Amino acid sequence: MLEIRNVKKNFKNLEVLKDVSLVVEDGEVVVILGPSGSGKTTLLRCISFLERADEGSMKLGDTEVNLKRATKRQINELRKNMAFVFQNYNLFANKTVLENVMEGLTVARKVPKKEAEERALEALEWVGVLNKKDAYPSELSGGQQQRVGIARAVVLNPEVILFDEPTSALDPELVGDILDVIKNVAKKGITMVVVTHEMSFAQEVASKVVFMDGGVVVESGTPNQIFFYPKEERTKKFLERIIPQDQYYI
Amino acid sequence: MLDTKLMADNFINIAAFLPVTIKLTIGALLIAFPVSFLFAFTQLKRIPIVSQLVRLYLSIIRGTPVLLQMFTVYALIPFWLNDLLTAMGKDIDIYDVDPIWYAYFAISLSATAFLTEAIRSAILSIDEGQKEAGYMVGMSKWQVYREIIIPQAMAVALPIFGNVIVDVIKSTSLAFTMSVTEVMGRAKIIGGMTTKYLEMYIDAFFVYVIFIVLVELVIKRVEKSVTKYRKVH
Repeated sequence: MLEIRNVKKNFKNLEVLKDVSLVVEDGEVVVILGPSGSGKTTLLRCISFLERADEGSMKLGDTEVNLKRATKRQINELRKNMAFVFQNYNLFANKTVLENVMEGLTVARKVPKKEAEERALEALEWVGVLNKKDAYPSELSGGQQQRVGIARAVVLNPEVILFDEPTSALDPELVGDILDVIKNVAKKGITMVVVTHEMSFAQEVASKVVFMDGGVVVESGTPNQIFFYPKEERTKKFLERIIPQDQYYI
Repeated sequence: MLDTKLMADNFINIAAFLPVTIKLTIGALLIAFPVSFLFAFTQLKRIPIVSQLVRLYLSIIRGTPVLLQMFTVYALIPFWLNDLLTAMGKDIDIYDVDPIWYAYFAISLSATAFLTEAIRSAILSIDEGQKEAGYMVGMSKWQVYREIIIPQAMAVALPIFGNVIVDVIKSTSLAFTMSVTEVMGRAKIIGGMTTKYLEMYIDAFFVYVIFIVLVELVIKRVEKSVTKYRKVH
């Protein structure tokens, strides 16, 4: 279970997160929606310590830490239980596809090379880029790179995978394919937190939808509640602008 | 007229001192590379005082001719060391030390300055996302640098490394002023003995050109293998 309490984060004078709390049960898929600048990505980055929160606490499994004061060791410990899928893929440019997926196992977790390779090959086959295993990231299309990014996360068998707008940098025609891969990750029962703008994906896959705006969670609930019976005015406005009307009133 | 026979006869005599040139190059680079890595990190980490001192060093070295640096090193260092050893009561004659050691050090000074800049900017050029991805697969900072950042930075800096290596080879010719006989020194000595300076200089000219062209070929090879990940499809 991932539990985040009272996260606050300022960038200079700008309050990006004003007291955000979030509970993600094991096996849950939480989709965070919201306009740009609402703090979604910053929240993910605070959870993963890529950004230091100014306040707040986090509990993942049995480890509980203060987000501001966590030590290097605690951070490293927690990061070994999570994985991150980036908007810009961020594959290791100097490593082949196979090495990209193995790196977290062999270097960070000291898994024997042979076992790591087997697991990495399995993950690559699962996301459908096994034939590219010896290629370098610069030789892959965006869609292929993101598949590798997902394999790199899944192979670690983490307690939670954080997806930061995983399809935003892709060609529109590739978005569906990658969403299908992410759906398959969800079907595996892996706990996921997904920041995305893909409404149909949220409707179909999320067990919980969180709507954020202006650095706070405006409301959260099942996809059904949020999409068809939103309580807050701000949520309604956001959905009206994003979802085509005919689909909205189905 | 050029005495081509003398030139041909002595080419080998001069080329025979290429190993000294190579030794000086390698010695200077063995000092310059590790030191410039350290220096670059003091700059990147902005370590107080140390980083300012390094920056002062860079300004001084870049702002003075290599020849002057050599004269200064050769005159000052033994003098200081001698005082130091005397003060410590050690009975070692510092003027007995093979001058090649001063040459290694003197040549490394400017190489260190240029390499520091090259390494610093190469590391800065690597996208922050590479680092973040490394942390998120569970790597420590040290592992991220070792596996991801340094290898990519080396590929970026390699063309500059090549230039510095060639510069170092050429500046070893100044080691003769520190009484180390290498290719240039040998050419001067034979020139002095035969009074045919120009012929000997032309010999030395060819020795350097051939050697440096070969070195550049090797560097190109290395560059190709280190940057093979940057293929564009």
